[in-house]
Amino acid sequence: MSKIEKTQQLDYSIEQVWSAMTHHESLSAWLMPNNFKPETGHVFTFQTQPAPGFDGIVHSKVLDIQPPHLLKLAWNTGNIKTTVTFKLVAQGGKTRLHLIHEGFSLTQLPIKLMLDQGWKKILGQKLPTYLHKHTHLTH
Amino acid sequence: MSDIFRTLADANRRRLLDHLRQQPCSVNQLHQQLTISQPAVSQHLQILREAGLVKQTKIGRTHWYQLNSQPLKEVAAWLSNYETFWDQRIDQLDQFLSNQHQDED
Repeated sequence: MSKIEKTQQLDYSIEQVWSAMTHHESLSAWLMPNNFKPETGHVFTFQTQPAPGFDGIVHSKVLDIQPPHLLKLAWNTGNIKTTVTFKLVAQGGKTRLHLIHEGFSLTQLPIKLMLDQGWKKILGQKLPTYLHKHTHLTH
Repeated sequence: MSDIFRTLADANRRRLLDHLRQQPCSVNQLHQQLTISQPAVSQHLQILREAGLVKQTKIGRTHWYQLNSQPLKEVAAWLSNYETFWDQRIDQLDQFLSNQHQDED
């Protein structure tokens, strides 16, 4: 209940995945627009369009960074203070990504904010557009 | 939709909910079993009712209170939204890598 975990095999080298995870342009393309820097202690935001009950800002901080294996970020929205950890393991030229989003507790959850799904749609439409642009720029 | 955050921030309200999870209770029972003063029990129950976490039924002269778990289910639904969010983001990461390294294959 208080933790989300995802594991995914990616058909790319650990260096390629690490690079996509630790440059602010590539993070903007697949996650959200941001002013990330790969430095421990760097305070930054992921920013998207506000929606009712969500100001569009994820307040983040680089809590730990160990190239090319571990990136741990603070993930704070409204009253919700959580962390997101990305772990990478090289597997013969491919990479296993393990994501852990944790720190939720029931007492933290303002339901009004939680239940609004509008922002999800915005992200779902906005980010593919970024990816589309990116494809055109590089090919 | 009420503010569940503020409602559950109080330790006594969480104790009341834990207790009501097991069975419906009257104010008097809650007062005796949890050693919280009767006016305080009534006040907490009022707040829990406003948040939709507790339902009240009157039988004879006694009000019975029981847990309504629906808002808690909605919290679980929110977590499930984040599940979807990360599934999508990881797919987009995969897609991003595919776009970026297409020429190398």
